[in-house]
Amino acid sequence: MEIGKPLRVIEAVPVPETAPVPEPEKEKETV
Amino acid sequence: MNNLNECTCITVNRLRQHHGVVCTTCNPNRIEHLIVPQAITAYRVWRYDHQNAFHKSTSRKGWSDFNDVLPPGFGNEHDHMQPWSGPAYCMHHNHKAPNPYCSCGYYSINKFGKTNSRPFGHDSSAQIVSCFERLKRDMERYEPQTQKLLADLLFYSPVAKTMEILEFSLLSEVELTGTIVECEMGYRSEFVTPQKMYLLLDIDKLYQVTSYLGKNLAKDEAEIFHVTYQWVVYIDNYLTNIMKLFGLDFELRLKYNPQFHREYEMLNGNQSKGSDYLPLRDHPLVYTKIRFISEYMEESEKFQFHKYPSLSTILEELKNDTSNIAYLDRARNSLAARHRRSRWIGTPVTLSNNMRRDHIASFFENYADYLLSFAHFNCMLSEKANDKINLLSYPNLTKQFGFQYHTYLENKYEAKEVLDQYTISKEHPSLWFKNVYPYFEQYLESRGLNTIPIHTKLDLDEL
Repeated sequence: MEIGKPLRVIEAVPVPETAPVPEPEKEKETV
Repeated sequence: MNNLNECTCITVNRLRQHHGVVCTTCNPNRIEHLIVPQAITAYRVWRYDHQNAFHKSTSRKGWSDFNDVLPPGFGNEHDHMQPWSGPAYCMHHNHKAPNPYCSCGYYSINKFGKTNSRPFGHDSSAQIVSCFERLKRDMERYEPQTQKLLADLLFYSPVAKTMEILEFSLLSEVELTGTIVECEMGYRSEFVTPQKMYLLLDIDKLYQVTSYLGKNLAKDEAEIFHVTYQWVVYIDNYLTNIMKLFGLDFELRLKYNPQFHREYEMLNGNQSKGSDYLPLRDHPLVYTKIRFISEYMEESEKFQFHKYPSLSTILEELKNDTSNIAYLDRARNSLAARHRRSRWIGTPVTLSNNMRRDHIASFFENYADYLLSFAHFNCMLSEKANDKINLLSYPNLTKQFGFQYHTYLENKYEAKEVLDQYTISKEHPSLWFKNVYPYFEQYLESRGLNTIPIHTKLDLDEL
């Protein structure tokens, strides 16, 4: 299979697409 | 951004530049890999044959297979029915594949539907045509009457035509991960995961095949179109069912030449993937015009009262053939010929395999076994109840197979044998598809579709 001259050497590390974790609600400050 | 220097040497490494080998003279320092946060999509072909699917240990190996896949018995990560499993492996040196200075790794290219070099070309129709060209040479040696009988069977039966294809390429869209050497036209990678399988065909070439068979029988063009379309649909169904075993989707794509059909606009985007090939159901010529011809023919009187070729009648008539009788007298009782006859079961028997060493009638019995086994396997793949031992237990599928087989099987087996669960008939797929069938059983067991695999049915303690 002809793939031609080499251009670059890479490391493909797929990052799993995860839903952003919702930040826990801050407790209301009591005065 | 590149991390390699372009090679300026003319003499050193000149020959291996097309395999993406990095030149040590121009890149003397250590190469720092660039990190890419996603998998890379590419395309490559895998060799496929009916008996072994993607299994490589029994069929011929190309140099790319040596680079890609461990030999059987080595390593646990490799599933030999799936040559893409596990990391790439270098046959020549003890290093991690792909090494930039070596030619190892899983090869793939970045363009869909590339048709240039034949062994790695994405279009499989040339391979199909070459199988039939060989068959054509062999068939012309027989008497005209025999030629007619065999052509009649091949013409109407998509099963027989598909079985005649010994090996072809399936194109897959793959995701590459791990270390990758990116090159001008493609990649060498550490891991490869197929996402979807494609078969690219040129319907003109399939039409050539069927029109050659139809010419002997004086068929008209509409009938040839009808038979070609049925063949295409059959291949689509068959491969869709087989690819389920590997957990892959399948799509059949047909070549479309916009220069000849100017009234249609070429589709782009995912439909054509930048190539000349369109999915069967998006094809403006095949799915509209040729399908209408086929549907019309199916409804027409010609096919409503059509009698498909019958295996038992063909066998009877082939006994009158005298085309290679002189040759047979000399060779049929030689040790080699007797040995060849004794090991028929399990080896593929296509019509081009006969080689004039057997009389066509005795050869046809073996051929019919393999043909019925292939047809039986097709039923098993598409049905949910897969524990039927004999093809006679299924409803009559003459129209789907394109030949009549009931009389042939009824002559061969008694009713008692058909119903007997423990006697495996001579044309059971487990005897002929030795690599695919156990894999198929595993698949059924994992899905809970089949109750008991055929090999464990005989319990020795009970006897």
